[in-house]
Amino acid sequence: MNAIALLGRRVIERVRGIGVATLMLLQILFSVPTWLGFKLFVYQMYRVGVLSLLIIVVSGLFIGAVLGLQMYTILATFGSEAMLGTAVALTLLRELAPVVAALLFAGRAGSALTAEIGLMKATEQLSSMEMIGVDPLKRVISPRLWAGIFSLPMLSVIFAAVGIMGGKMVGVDFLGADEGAYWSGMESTVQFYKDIFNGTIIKSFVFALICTWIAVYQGYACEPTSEGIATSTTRTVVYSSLCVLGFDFVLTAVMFGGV
Amino acid sequence: MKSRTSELAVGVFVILFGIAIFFLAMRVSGLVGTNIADSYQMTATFENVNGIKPRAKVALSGVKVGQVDTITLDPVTRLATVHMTLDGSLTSFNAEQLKKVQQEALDELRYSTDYEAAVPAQQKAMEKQLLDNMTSITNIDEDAYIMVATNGLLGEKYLKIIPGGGLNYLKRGDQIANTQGTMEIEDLITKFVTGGAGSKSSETQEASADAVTSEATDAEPAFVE
Repeated sequence: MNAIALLGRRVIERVRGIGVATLMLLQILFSVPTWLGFKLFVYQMYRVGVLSLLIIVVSGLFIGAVLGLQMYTILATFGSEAMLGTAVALTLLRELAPVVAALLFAGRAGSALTAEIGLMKATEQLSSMEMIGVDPLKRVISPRLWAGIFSLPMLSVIFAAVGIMGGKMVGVDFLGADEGAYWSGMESTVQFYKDIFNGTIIKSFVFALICTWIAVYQGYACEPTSEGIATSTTRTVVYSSLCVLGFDFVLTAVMFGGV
Repeated sequence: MKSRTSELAVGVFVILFGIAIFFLAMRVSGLVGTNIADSYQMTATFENVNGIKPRAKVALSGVKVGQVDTITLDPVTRLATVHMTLDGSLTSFNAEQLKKVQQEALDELRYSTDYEAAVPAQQKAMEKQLLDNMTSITNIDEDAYIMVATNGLLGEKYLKIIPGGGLNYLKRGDQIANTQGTMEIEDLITKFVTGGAGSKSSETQEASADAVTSEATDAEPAFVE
């Protein structure tokens, strides 16, 4: 009997948590933008977007390089190294750039957001804000959420561009695939709307919303203890990664499944 | 000061994003690369265009001279019509070459029996008509044919224009009449298998010879029509 009650309580807690998170999201998305809000947003763009740039560029370069290396050796066995550019570009644009950038973003920026907001809550900064009549949702949560939503698609596009350059560096410059075939194969297969807009930008927009939403909610709802902050930060990374991978399958099925 | 640095950094971030999306649009998807300064349309009708997609390249002697725009299916003839955009700077003569080509055409005209039979006024008219016909010619002659080719063993399909030796050139917007569609490897195997099975007995040898000739006549329309 107790076990069933426990299960019921868990489910009610989860559903309530999702409800609170959705209300928070809607409140932020439909609030009126202000000048102060924009300034805070720019500062958060710096912290969330610009500071993640290095990890994104470096991992993009290496993932592109690995793709170039692997694809070259595989394609060379069929004598079709000319397809190298197409393979690298499509893999990056459709899958790897949005997914890997989102995973890195969840680890690099999402966890930091959760820890920061959680510590604000633990040291009662959020409740003192409420006390002096400042809405912490507007002042703290909203600029962080918007910054995350806007910076991840930009980071993904940069990731893809750097990755393609990395693939070119290894495949063409080191291994000796034909440079003209690398670019022209890419040009004739990659479609801007389908692969770059749908594949990279829309996908990573969805991932950005999921990752930042989970991060700010976990920070906002965390237990105000040091252990609670640790749990919330871990949850942010785990939930974000799982959601990104799950939604990636759904989005891919919707975008490219029916072709 | 702190906010100024962060604003600058965000500015740089946005510029980097701009460069990246520009790079992806231009180099990777070739979105803006289709704007050829001097372009024109041509069409060709194929029996089979399996594997050709919009934006597939059109090559002349291995050089990319254009790309496929759309592929339509004629409901009556059930043939596929490929509409393509060609680059004028690569597929037309410059003024000097055009003069030479016109001269050659005039020379040919002057040796023709019609011309010799005609009175001088008619000769003038014929010459004028010939030159008028050559105002917007391309360097693709009427004997040239266009075929579906494969880049490498497993590569993508593209259209290959093979120049003929004719003196009459196609005009811009014309249709390339001689085409050869996609060679399906299964069809070739089928032909090989049925042709090979017939040569076992002497009686069927004739049949196989028939098959060969019928094959030849089958294959001919692919080149002619």
